[in-house]
Amino acid sequence: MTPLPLVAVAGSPNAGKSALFNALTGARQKVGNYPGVTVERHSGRLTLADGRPVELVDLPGAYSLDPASPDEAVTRDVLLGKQKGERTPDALVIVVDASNLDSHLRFALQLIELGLPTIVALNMVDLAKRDGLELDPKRLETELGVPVIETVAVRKRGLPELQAALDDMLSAPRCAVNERVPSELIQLQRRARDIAKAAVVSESPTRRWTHRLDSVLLHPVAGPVILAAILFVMFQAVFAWSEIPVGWIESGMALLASAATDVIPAGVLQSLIVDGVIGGVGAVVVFLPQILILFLFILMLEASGYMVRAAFIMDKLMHGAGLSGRAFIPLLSSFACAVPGIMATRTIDNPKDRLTTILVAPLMTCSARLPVYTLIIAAFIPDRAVGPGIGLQGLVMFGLYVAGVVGALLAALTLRRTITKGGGGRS
Amino acid sequence: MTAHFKPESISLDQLEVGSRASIASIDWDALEAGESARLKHFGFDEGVVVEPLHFGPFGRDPLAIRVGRMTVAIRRSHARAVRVTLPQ
Repeated sequence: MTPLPLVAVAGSPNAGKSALFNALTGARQKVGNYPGVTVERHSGRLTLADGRPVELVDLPGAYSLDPASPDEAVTRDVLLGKQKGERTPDALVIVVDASNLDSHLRFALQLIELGLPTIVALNMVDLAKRDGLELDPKRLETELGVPVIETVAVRKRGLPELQAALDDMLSAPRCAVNERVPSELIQLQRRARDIAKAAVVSESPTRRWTHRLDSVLLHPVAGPVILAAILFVMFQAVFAWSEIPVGWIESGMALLASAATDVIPAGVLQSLIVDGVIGGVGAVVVFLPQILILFLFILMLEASGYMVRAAFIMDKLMHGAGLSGRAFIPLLSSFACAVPGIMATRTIDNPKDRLTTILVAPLMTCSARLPVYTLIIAAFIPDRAVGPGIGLQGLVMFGLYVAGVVGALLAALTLRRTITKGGGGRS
Repeated sequence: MTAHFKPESISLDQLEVGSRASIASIDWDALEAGESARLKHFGFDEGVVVEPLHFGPFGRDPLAIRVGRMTVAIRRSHARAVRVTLPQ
């Protein structure tokens, strides 16, 4: 039995390589291991239009054929036919990010030089278009000398075209592998930039207005003031906006309780339903509006892109506490709940930074603690204004949150000097 | 005095907001593995044009750098590893 034609999928990290591989192979995947290294080998089967099966292998993401990690070494060795336990691929699909052509084409050029039958998948063209970048795939094709197919892997767009191109490629007679001396990386980079420039049809400066907005939001003085104001409004809103829906829930619960009292005869059962179930659930449900408002704010900050700006502003201060600016988002999310906050720490690549962030995240006041704060504030702090639009209760709430933040930063500093000493944060 | 064929280079952290310069060299060994991988992914390389857009409010750190069509944030201490040349 002759082995199936082997097609390798290669590309830089974040080009959407694995998304394309998944879209092409569907659920028919096998995860194995390359012998001698702890690098996973993902392979799958793809059936071409004429029913011919093809084996697809998803190579680890790499920036060039000069390996910087064991993963990249596997990519190079497979492509050069030097990897133990792997055949030399019969064809190659190079995935490039349309919005990031400059850097992704460099690797693509290096791979094309290998002389294997190659197709370039110009991926994420939808995102490039949204950013006002229009590319000419035909021009790219002439410049690169290999077929270029526009794809949107996550939306499964361009896949039939890619399969058809693959079909043509595998049907054509094999050409000899190129024995040419590989070009210098810097030359490839320059050619990549020239080609990327040539392939651009139109490039609208859509970023202009965001830049103008950023000069206010990231202004050395206005930036931190705006950040503090947004956080302050957020915590005021948690109190003020929730008053009305809390009133509705309270009167709703009262109505329900009196209705239950009327229906159920006085006794143990009535007490269980009215005081236990309705009273107990009601005491928890009244906090729902506050939690929802907090989540709404965090979602809006995340979706609008402000969260990234906040991380930028806070980085220096976080750095002072031995944390990364990237810890700001997980820590702010911990206001909603520490669990997703801790999960969000996976974006921090330094392991010690990440551990420190995880350890201090629960010190941030999460929304489940909000009812306790609310209860205590309502009981001990008079509801009066200390200024226009500033309630004393909201101010105390703000202060409690600040205390949580300060506590977390102090804890981070202590941890950084003891348990998670060295590396990363304080470089 | 000897004639200098190489144009004067400064480190990226000395570049002012709004001035464009091209990367002359990057001292990859001065960067931690994670940071150098991140910069490579952003397309930091010799000959690439960079432009600082904003500085952080505290100690002018970090730096928001435009590279290609992206704006990326890097710390001042890391920017020191990148040498740039101003256009003549």
